[in-house]
Amino acid sequence: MTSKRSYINLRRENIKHRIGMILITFFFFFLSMLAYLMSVQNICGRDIKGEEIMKGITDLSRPEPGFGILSMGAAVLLAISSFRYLHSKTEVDFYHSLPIRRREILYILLSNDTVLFVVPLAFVLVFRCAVAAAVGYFSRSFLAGSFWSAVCYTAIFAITYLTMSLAMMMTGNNFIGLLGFCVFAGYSPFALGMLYPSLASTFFETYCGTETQTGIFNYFSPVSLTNLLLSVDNRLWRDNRLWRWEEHVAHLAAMGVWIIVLLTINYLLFERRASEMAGKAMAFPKWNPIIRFLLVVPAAVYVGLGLYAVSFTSFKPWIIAGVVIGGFFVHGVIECIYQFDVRGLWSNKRQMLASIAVSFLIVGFFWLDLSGFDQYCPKEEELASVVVDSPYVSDGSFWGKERKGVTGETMTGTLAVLDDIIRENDQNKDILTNGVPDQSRGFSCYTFTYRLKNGKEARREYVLSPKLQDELMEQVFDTMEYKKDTYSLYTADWSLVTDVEVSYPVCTETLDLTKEQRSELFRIYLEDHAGLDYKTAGNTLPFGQFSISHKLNLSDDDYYSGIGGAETSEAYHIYPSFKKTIKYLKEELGVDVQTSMKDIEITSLTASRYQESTEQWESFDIYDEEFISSIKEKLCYGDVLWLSGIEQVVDTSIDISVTIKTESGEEICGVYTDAETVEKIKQQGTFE
Amino acid sequence: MIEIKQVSKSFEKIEAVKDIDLKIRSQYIFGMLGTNGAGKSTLLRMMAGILMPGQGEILIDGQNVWDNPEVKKRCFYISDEQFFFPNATAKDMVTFYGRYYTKFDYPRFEELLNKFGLDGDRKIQTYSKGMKKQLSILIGLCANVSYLFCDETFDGLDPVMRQGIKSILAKEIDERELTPVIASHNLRELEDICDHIGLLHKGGVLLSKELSDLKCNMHKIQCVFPEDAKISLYKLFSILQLKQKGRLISMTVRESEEDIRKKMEDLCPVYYEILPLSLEEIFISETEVVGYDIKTLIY
Repeated sequence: MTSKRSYINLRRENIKHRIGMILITFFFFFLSMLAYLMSVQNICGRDIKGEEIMKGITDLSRPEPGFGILSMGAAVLLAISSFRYLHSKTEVDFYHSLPIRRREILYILLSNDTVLFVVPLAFVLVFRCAVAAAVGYFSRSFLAGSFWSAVCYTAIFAITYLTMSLAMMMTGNNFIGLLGFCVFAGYSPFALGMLYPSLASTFFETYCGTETQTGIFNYFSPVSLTNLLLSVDNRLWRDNRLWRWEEHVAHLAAMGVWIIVLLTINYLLFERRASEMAGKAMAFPKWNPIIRFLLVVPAAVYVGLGLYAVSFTSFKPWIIAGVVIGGFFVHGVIECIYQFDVRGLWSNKRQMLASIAVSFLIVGFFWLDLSGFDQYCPKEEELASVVVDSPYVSDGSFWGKERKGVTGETMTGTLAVLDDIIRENDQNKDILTNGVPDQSRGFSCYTFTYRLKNGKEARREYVLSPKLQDELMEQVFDTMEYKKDTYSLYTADWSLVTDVEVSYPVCTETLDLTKEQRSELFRIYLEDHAGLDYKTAGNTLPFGQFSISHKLNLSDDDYYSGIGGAETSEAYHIYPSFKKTIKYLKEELGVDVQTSMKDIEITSLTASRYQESTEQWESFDIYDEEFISSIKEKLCYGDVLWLSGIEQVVDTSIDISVTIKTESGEEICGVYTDAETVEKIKQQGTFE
Repeated sequence: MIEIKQVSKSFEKIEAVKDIDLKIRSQYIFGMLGTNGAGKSTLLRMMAGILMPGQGEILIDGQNVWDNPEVKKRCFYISDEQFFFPNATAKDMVTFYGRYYTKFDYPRFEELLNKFGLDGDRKIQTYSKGMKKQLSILIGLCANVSYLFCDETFDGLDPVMRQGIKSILAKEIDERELTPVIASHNLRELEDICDHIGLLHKGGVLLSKELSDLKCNMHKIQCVFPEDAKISLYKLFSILQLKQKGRLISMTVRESEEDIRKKMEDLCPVYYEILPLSLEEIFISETEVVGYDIKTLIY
């Protein structure tokens, strides 16, 4: 047993001979204190209410990424400075010849470095509390924030430190140790996490990525786990929401597990690490083939996919060339590193070939779609529901309640159409991607989310021809299940609405509504909308629309999760058949709604289009009053940007604008119309 | 006593030490001889508990040395390139070592430091290579341990200093129970100090014998016999080597001087002379017997 005296002695010597590192660590902590002081001064200097100052200062106590990065930096530096002795023969001979057990050396290093981090961290946190108290804004929330900061930063430090120390133990050279840390940090979230989405998006025609597939990989890297721990739900920024521990219990638990696992591995490896490995690239040569294989296989696949991407995804055999080149070079580079010799490029050819072969197997599996991904269509008895995302009405910004999908007979009908959709998908995708504009007109991507009874979910994206779209919509459009899934307003929290605009020929105005009026308007509109059948929607042009601006839902889990606090708006078309809505607008809200352009005086019409071959806009004007009068009723007021949801009815092959006479003179506004009218317009002139 | 039992150690594909069985008695100065790459340092580092044997075990006073602080307290390893803390002075290092080696003789260290003209308050990094070596030897000697493992320790020292260190070492052995194990590739370094020599070659022990046995039992005889004498020398002597130039016969025999003298008297030679062998000559003869050319091994 090592005497307590010897133990303390080495501990003291260890600290004494790392003064430089300690000073660097303390310096950065000092800088963080200065930054905190400046922030407090800035908040207190603002001309805002006391409670807002209190909130601002309390928020400063919570965990934040800047200090997280500082903790990670300190962990990396301290681990390198502690374990670098393992990479020097003379130092290994010195330390390992001393009468002290190996595990005690490890305890000394770990405990010293923990102290070197925790002591200044505690000092900084106490300093922060003292400053908050001095300016009179210290509170229980501040204390709680400081506590969670201490927990998070210590956890981040521990997981990063133990990963770095593991990398140092597994290698025999400082630079390779750093490379090792980078591999540990990036392998799971990037090399593994991105592999499936990259391959699937390249080879599967119906793949539409989901974040949940890659999310789990973030738990296996200190860097991405730190990112998760310190992340703030961006959707909540609108309420100035900051870090809350309740949202990070899973992350903290994962960190705890990782710390225990890493401590165990560190302990076992430190005991087993051979002293003679100092100066070599890798300290556990038996693992070299495994490490090399694990690195070469994904790297070869990525190089293959990269080469394909560089070729503008034009020629898939580039992937084969890329896999061979990537496999050869990555294997060679790793060998050169292992051997510290550029001639190592040619070593272990058999393993290189094996790695390339495995890479080919992976690529081949996806290329040939051996899993039947694109042909997947769940059996009806396995399905709970199907959520259909139409590109015309859903751009991913659904802010209603959870989408339940269509069930029962509607689902059966949908599945019947799906057989044709799957069968024609390749052909339709080819038309949409490579076909001429006239040929591909009306082809669109639909996303299907299959919710299985076992709780799993599968998503596929298909290209549908206009005929298939009609078949599908005939099955689903008239059902409330589909409407509630598609139009957010049915299930959304209306209190999130910030603004309602109404557009009709030829005017757009913001409605000044009371809460009750707004609810009533929405209720009446949805009543009308519920009665809208696919036939009407497919044949009738809406004369106007509501543009509903709203804040993002607190509980949704959708497309906008990455956009911090932005409000968004959604268009709801008003059809001539929406009598109750028109009546309410006119009678209750006093809006002089025009449902047609027939009474609008139009002096000229301009048709324009973008010619891709010349990369120029070309247009012609029509002044023929008789012609304009004949088509006026078919024209709808509106910007082309409003067309979401009615592309099927509207012909967007040309842009149309009209010059109208107003009381103050003339005004130009955009209009749209159906295919028949567009054809008539085209016959009136020649594009120049 | 140090017992090395069937110890092997490989570095990846290179077998540095192979099935070594060796016993080093206490208070003997053991010289470990061998060419570069013979496995001397590896064996010494295993004896010091730095490297773990791949196979077998090393016992010091009956206890396994690997990761055993109690045993390691009785050993001091002087590396061929000793590590000193950056910016440390000799006194700093001694303070550090003194906490591990509880019997550290501080007065003696001071005395030896003065004797060797080393400044204890000067930063070690400003010392010359030789001075650093002297300092590491002094620290090792003053640590008051039972086993001192010296790896190429006397290389890099000037002859005067080398002689000084050797005499201190000899004195230490006389005064207390010290067992130095000295690894060197230079036979002449070890000749005048070691009691026991082990010759390592390609990871194995080629030869391990006490120097006194080697020297006492091996002699060189030069003799001339009468012209008509018909003597079968191979039957009479245990001859390791025999050369004849005219009537002058030179032979190396493994026998005591007394026995040789007695046998020679009986043979009535015209002339004979018994000469002592240098360690170098003994090694040449011994290794030639087992089929090696020592000159290629240690020069």
